[in-house]
Amino acid sequence: MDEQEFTAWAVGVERRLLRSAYLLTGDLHRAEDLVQEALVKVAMRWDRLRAGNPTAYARTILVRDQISWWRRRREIPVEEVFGGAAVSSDPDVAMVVRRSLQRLTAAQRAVVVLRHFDDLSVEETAAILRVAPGTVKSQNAAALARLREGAPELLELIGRGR
Amino acid sequence: MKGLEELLDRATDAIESHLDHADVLVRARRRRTRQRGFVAGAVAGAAVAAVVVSLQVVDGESQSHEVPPASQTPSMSVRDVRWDPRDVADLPPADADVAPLLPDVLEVPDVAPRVEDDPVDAAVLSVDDGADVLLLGTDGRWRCVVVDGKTQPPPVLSPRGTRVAVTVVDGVVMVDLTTGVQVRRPLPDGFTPSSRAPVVRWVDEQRLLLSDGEGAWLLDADRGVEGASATARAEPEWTLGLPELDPAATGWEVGPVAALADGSALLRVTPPRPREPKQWWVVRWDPASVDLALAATVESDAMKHVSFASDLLGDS
Repeated sequence: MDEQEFTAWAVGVERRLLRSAYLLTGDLHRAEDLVQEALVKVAMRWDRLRAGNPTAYARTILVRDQISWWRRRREIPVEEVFGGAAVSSDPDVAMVVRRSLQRLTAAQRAVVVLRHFDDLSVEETAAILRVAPGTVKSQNAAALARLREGAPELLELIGRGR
Repeated sequence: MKGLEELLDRATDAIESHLDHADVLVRARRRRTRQRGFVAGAVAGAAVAAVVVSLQVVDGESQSHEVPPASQTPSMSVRDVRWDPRDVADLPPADADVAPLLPDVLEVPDVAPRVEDDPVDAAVLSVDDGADVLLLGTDGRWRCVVVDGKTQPPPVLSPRGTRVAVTVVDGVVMVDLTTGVQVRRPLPDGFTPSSRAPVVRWVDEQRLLLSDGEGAWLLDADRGVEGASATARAEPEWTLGLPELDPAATGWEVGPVAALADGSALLRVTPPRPREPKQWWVVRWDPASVDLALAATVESDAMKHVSFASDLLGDS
């Protein structure tokens, strides 16, 4: 295995993966664990993955590990610890986003993060979540509707940003 | 929702990664070493071999029926098995096109509508929960089949998942999942379902093979017993060699689920009981490359009494 090549790749993607994992979990420590585990699994298969798309592979592991974790617990726990200042230059925005995402189901939250933060297509999102593209579309629509209805403070922030 | 992307970006813009890459590499190296170290030396001839049930079933008029092998049972062999099933949770996820009908995580529900009230085109798998038979439909929803007098051996799903056979005290109930209609057939004379190794297996969507080690019978869903042989023996459909894994020592079990069209196999990996959380896994194994990947995590108590629509799972 070319460890230098792996490390160069990891340096380039890990921050984005960590931010994505944080949005999925709302817990920075859990997010770090998820990213570390994904990178270990990529490293184990680096010789096979290096010519392909190791980032997509890492993201798939990360999301599926988190979904499995959620399902074992059957609900998204309310995170007690909030390090707003540690995650955002704007702690108020961080707080609103975190609370808004907590209103979503596990599947809705994953779809929102993959589509609106990771900028993946419907098809790419469906492949990661192992669902039909139509399910991604309906989950996304349901998530946005729930945010509109249940998180007016999020709408306010979006309106203020325009 | 315009602007959401920007908010998500702003909400995480101070996150910095402090991951220790050296530690990541050490962990990866350690896991690889553990996988390889478990098999001390190459194991020649370790194999997943489809030992096909080969029977000449003769009916009352001495007419011979060749029982076809279970479909999609390629002969596979592998020189070296470098895997410890105890590491199953560390396996990477399988590609999305591997057994796409199998959900990534499978949770068996406590209740489901009865199949006669809500028929399904086909079921991907069946689970015997002790009381009823639960079925995961190809539409992703669960149904249940209620059969009075259910006994061993456990229910068996047909290769394409359109029927399930449930052994009852005095017969076999074949349930058409597309209609919910149950057909009860008496057990063939001489068949001993309590024998040491009874085999109840669908030959196709219509015919069931029964064998008790002493004899074998073909049971047609519409016509009843079609043929019998007093001498034929049904060999195990699959044998799996993981020679360095001592099941008695670890309690872990690895067994076949289905053969896929690309030559790889789906294996069921079950941990010793009791274990919390109650989980077992479906793993894709490519014998050619010795490549293993996680196809599904099953959240359920019912580890053994699960039957898969093997041909349906093989579809991509």
